Amino acid sequence: MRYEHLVIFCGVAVAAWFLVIYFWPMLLLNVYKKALLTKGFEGPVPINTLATAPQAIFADPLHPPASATKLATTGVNHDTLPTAGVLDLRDGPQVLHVPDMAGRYYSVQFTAPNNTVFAYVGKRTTGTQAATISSRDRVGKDRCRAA
Amino acid sequence: MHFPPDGLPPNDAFWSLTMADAKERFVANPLNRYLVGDRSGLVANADGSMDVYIQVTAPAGHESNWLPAPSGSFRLWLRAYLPGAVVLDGQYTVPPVLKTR
Repeated sequence: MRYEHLVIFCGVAVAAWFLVIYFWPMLLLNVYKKALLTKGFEGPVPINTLATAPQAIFADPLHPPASATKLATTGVNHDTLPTAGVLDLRDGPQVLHVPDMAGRYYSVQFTAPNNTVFAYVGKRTTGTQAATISSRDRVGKDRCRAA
Repeated sequence: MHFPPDGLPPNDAFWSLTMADAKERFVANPLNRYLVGDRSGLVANADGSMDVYIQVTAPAGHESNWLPAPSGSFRLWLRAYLPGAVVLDGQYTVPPVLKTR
């Protein structure tokens, strides 16, 4: 068996590659979640709260306020102001109220811990009128619905 | 970057072409302009096409279409919000960035 080691090596390499492909997005999401919970945009964002990046950064991205964290200054986006938060749905659903956006573009992306987007609220799907959106309890089974 | 007539990114919201240096940082410039797009006052050519001037210093006579660039390498993001059917179908062609002179 002269090629035995080569076969084993290739098998392990392929398996490792699949593991990286599979787990990498979850790892990234976890990094983002940890950054949000511990540092936030200008301070820690506790679970079940939303925080919006300081508008001063948006107006002048080259001179962020001293309070701005790395999370607030990372990324090359001068189009949209991010609001983010981590929801814990183990104790039941959460309700999101969105104001009347008067036709302006906005989007809310709901991402499960495994990094799949399981719901989307915004101009494209639910329109720009004021709405109360309920997220059913268990991630994976739930769907957001506008009411 | 030359957008042919009717060649801007089709969308139902807005679009942008955003500039950053190789380390993904915005580029300082006298206009505080970090992107061009439908909200930045781009001026079309007589035939309806559009030129975006990606360079370090302002192009004389074409300041409105200047996307300030760093002196080294750079990265561009072309974004279409609520992209039109042409984009979703994969039929939209992003114009190449052409080196001039």
